[in-house]
Amino acid sequence: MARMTNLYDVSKCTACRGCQVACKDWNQLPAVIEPFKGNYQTHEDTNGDTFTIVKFMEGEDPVDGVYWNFLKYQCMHCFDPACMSVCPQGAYSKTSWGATFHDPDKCIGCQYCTYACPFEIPKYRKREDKITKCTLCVDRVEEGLTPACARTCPTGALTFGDRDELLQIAEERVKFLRANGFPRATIYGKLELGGLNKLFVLTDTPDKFELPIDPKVPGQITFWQDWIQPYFGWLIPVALAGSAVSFVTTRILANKNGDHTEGGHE
Amino acid sequence: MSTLITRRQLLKGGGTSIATITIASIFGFQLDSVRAAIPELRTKNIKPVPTICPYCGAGCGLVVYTNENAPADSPQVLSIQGDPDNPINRGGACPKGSALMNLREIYNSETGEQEINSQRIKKPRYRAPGSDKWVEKDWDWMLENIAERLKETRDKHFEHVDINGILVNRCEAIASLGGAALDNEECHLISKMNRALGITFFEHQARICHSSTVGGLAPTFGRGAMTNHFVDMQHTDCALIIGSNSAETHPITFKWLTEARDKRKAKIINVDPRFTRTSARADIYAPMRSGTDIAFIGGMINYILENKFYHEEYVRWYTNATFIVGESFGFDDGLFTGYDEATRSYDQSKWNYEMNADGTYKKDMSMEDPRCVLQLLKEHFSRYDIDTVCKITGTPRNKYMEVLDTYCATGAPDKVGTIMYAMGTTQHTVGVENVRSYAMLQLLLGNIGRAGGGVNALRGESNVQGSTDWAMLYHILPGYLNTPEAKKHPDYAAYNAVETPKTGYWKNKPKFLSSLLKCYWMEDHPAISYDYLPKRIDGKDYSHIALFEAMYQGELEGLFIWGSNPVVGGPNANKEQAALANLKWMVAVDLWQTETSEFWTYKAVERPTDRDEYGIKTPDEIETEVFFLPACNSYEKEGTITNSGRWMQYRWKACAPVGESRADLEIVNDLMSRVKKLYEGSTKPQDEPINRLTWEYGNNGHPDIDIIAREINGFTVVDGKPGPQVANFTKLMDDGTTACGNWVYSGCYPADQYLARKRDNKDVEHEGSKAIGSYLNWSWCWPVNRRIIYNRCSCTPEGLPWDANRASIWWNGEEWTGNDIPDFGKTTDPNGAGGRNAFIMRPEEVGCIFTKRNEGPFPEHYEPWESPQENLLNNQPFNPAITVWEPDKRGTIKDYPIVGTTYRCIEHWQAGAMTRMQPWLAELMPNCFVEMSEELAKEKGIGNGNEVIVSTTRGDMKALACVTKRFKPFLINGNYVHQIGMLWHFGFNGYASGEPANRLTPHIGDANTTIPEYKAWLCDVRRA
Amino acid sequence: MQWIPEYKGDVPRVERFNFLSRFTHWGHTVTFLLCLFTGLALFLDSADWLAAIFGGFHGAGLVHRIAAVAMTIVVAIFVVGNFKVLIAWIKDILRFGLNDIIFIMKFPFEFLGFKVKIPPQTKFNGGEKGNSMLTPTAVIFLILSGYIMWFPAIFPAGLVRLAYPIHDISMVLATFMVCMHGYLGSFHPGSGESFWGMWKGTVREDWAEHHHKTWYGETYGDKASGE
Repeated sequence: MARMTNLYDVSKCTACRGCQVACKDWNQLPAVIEPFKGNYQTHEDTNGDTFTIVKFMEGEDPVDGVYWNFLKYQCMHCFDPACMSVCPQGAYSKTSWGATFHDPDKCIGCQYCTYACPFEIPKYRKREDKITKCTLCVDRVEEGLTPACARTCPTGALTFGDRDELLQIAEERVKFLRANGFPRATIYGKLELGGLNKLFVLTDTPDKFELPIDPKVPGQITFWQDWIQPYFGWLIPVALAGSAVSFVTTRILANKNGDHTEGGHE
Repeated sequence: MSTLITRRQLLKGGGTSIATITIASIFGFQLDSVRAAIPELRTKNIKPVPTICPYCGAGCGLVVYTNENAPADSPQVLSIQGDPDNPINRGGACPKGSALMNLREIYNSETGEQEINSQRIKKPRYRAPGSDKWVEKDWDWMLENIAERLKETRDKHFEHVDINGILVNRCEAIASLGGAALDNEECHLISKMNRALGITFFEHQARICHSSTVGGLAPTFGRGAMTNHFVDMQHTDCALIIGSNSAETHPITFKWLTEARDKRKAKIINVDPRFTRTSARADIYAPMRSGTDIAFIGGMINYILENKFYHEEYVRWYTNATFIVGESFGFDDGLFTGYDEATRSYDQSKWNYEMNADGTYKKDMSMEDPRCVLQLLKEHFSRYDIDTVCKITGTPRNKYMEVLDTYCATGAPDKVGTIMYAMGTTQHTVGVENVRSYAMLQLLLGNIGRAGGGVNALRGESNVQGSTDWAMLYHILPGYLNTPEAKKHPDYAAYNAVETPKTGYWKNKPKFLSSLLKCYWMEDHPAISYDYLPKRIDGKDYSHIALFEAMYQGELEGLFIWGSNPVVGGPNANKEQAALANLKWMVAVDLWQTETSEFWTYKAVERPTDRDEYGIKTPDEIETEVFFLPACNSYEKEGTITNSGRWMQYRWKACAPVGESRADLEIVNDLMSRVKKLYEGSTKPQDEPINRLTWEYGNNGHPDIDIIAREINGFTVVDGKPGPQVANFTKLMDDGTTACGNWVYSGCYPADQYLARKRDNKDVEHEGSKAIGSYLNWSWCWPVNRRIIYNRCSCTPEGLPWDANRASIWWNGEEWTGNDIPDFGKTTDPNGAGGRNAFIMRPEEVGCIFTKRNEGPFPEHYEPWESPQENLLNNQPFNPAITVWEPDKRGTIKDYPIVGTTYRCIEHWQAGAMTRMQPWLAELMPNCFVEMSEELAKEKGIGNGNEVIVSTTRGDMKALACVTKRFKPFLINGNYVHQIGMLWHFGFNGYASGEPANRLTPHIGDANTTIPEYKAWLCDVRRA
Repeated sequence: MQWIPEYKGDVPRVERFNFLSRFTHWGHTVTFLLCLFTGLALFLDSADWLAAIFGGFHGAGLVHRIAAVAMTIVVAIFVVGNFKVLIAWIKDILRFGLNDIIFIMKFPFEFLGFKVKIPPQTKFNGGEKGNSMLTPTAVIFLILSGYIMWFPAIFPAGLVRLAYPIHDISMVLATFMVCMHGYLGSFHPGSGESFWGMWKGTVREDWAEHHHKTWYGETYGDKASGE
């Protein structure tokens, strides 16, 4: 099955946050009420009961004047997800169409994935001692429906479909935006981290949307994952095997030599 | 369908520790135990129930997935999502729509369990005089007691005959407020009940939100409604969004504007004091100081006339630009001729047209006569040059020029522009003239009646269009018939004589009145039942502000509140709250405990400072009896609502009401039945309006929607009983042989089908043309399913579309045909008599650039009542025709140097009772904030997120500061003027609570409809 | 076949470990093993069976945390209550010298049971010195990184990220050492008596003299001061 993905075009987003609520409706998530801190964006980040948020970023450009950028932020469903590679329980899996699926039944709440993720997306839900994150509405997509966020988007900023087709649309759109007042417009998610299963059309450079320009799996994680773990763990079986060998050989040799019976060198 | 790839298949050798694998291998455990972990679709095999969103006036469709097997008092809703079949939103839903489940059920944030929203009230409640708490009562006790109070007050204060001996049948001691969120059927019954009771203080949200729209559009075009509809916005070439933050307040507009931008390369212009989410998606953002719309638009009109950008043929044929105005009309220093300073009003007879001897209007088709409307208009607005305008509005000149050039380009015959506006326009002392200026601009550019054009008044409540049509207002009867005034309309004949124009479609008015009276009192002849209607005192103001002023003076005894919350939403909320304490009894019908229903609690008394301008009473001092009746929500009942685009859509019942809550329809029906029973047997003539009232809506307290709907549609009266329904209002008679609840809705139930229930969303195109999104088979739309009104204007005078790519209707040589229902005589030849009289509802039968309003026939810029700037265009301090209620409360720049305004955000709705009670929405906007520029914050030492106090002469309000680049000081006539703005949704109840911003706003209104000035007043701000 | 040498109470014995040392050693053993097995239950894909012993993943997680806290307490008791012994231990480790190097070089043969000549050793032989350096270091890292992972919200993300590999590396190292130490300290015929040293506190005098000549001499022999 072809890769299915969301295309999110910020130039059409009005930051209504319908997606944020529709996500809660579909995924049965309670509200997390935090006080107003001087920005419309009441959650600084996703949390255990909030899989997606819309970020609000205002600024001023000497030429273009005031701008107010919005970004729907959630799991990127990376082609090669760090969360999945570090999960000790194998709670993560990829669907054939590209969703990074997290099975809560397998999760033990260790939060390793949270810190392995370049976007720190998987979040801990205290009440169940589990990690949660955007599911790309796998249950809906498997039944041929679109994810709740894309379904609800009033303006069509968020769409869902075949990634290759959406990529083409995104490229066209970026071309259009560049020619129409957004010279720095760009696609995000096409190549980042080897490809994300979420595509963005941005009207400016990614940093203007609080997105890492070149996201990377944290060095501590890759070093461990690629270099230490595959070989280092052998120490334990070596110790066990060595002990077993020694157990046998010492006794064989002792019988042969007839000493050591008293447990000491003479 | 899908298979899960485990990370082992995906990763080459990484994964967790190899030791893991080794150990596991040693012990021989299965590694690839991939579970089919994806949960099953929750809504599989569940039939969705269609409903319509209960918030803004867009009328988006939603579907409710319900678990029908769940017990009535437990959670039943599985999910609520946008209705993909509804042409308006196509499955989309904003956060309020998406959160609809919270109206009934929530997920507990501690346990994650689904449960009934604990804010919903499950049993009726009673508050005794002097008490500080509720007592639960049963429905019987409540309704019986309410009916008794009602009778007691009515009998005590009823006026059967006034001092002049005129039968007036009015009761001025009881008021009724609210109803814009109710279904049409409910509005019909409340309207009918109130009129039978003789209630004259009958008001609702339309007064304070869009009354100036009706006041501005009806005298210009003939009808007061939004001219086009939401789906139609996709056809525009340019959208001027002024006085509206439509991306937030009417989110679905951006679906269609985005479509227009994608498909037509349309431009979006946003004019607003602050940079909003709408501005963020606009092509041009032009800041404008609150309260200067007429200067802004006046400058555009001047630019158009000077540069001849107007659509000349259109203006010539479809407007009164050609009409000659009489010599007595004149204008000097902000005053038109005929002004009387003592009464602050005009003698409008000075502004008549010149007539020909045969009674026709005198015209100059070349539009060059110096006394023709076009030339007078040119002269009037010649003072509105770009520099003067920018000095007044504070708009940077380059931005203003951009707006002028971009929008005025829609004057080309093949270009169409739309104006979208809302409260930023209407809620001013010049609200009506603001709307008028938009309407005039659109007439000049030839943008009315055309696909992608129009003056789109974005209604803010789901059925405020309907409730206005149902005349839940003191000055009209259902279908926009004026309410009788004692001296002006002492009897039936006098009413018809005074009210019926000789030309235009309104000449049929007697038929509509007769049928309405028949609907109310079926067994009596209209000439008799006319006198059952309450007649108001001539010229007396009963509007929202006047109502509360009267209440504050202790003139009212009883009040019905139908889902309305003036303690938060009313202007000068401190005064309105204080006024409520003067009532003897109050009945509040709502889903939740609104601030108004709890105005007598200790919470309601809390203020940020010691100031108390209006004498707020504490619970022990308040003697008001309060009856709270829990109503069910929009998907726990069924009925129709009418959206801003006049589509009458049906909402099906999706689940059981919470607790003992009941539909308003049942409550009204039950209450009126009890009142009728109380009056049964009375022979007093003053009780006839009640005793003779036709009130039969089915059995067991569950009124039959279809019976009501047929009554709304109208039928022939046979032997004093309902006969066959009429096809539409053209079949109504003035002799008492037909009954019709509201002629505007006549045609919605012509035979055996309630057309509002129609759900065929195929957009049928007329052969040889492109469909234009009329969706004629989706629901029903008034008038008689015409989707774009005044659509005769979409064609050349000869009857061919101005733009064939978005042709609405056209003349095929024999009749008018096309993709919409013609708002015109179907067979009226464009080249024959009246063939170009496109505005059939006006006596002039053309669009009126010049028309009589209380402050003049042309809009003139007047500064707000409280303004930081003297008027640069004339010497009038403010609108010369407005009523000043509290002269001592007019703030000046000495004490209050900052312009204040209030507004909404997408996450909350109106007075907030609906949305603050919902966790998902409280989460998105948890507190009230005051937005201000970085410059002002620096001046005042305020940091982002600090608590601040905003003060006006009326009171104080505490909120959090939102210091932003999106607000900038305005350069007004060489000086910098600061403006701040705040959300007005907040009150002391709910998951999200805060102080009502309306404690700051003044009791001052427009000169025509007294819509309150919420948007421009003076204040000061400091750190708390 | 004999697992460990028989305890002989009738021969002269000398004290090797005091009560607190033995108590904390075994306390540490128990908590470490609990942490190890619960940790493996949590971190091995295939360890459902291990987790089941502790009542599922949640039980395992709970036990892991309780044991970790207990282990912290045990370590703290040793450090505080047995400070002198700790200092002596550290001093002994610091005496790492030529004899220890020779021991380590010859150790593989010793390990497999070949007869080798070992130079005199202090209280802890070269191998034990290595263990004494590696295991406590690993355990300290385990404890520190463990708490960071337990309460990630109060630490910087970079540190939390680091904590995971550190916990894992320390676990592997510590487990390796524990395996070796466990085997050598009990089942290896060459060091059998050392088990009793940790269990009862005393070892046979002749064994002490033979295996830890330097220590024996300094403590109980000619060079013993104050005896």
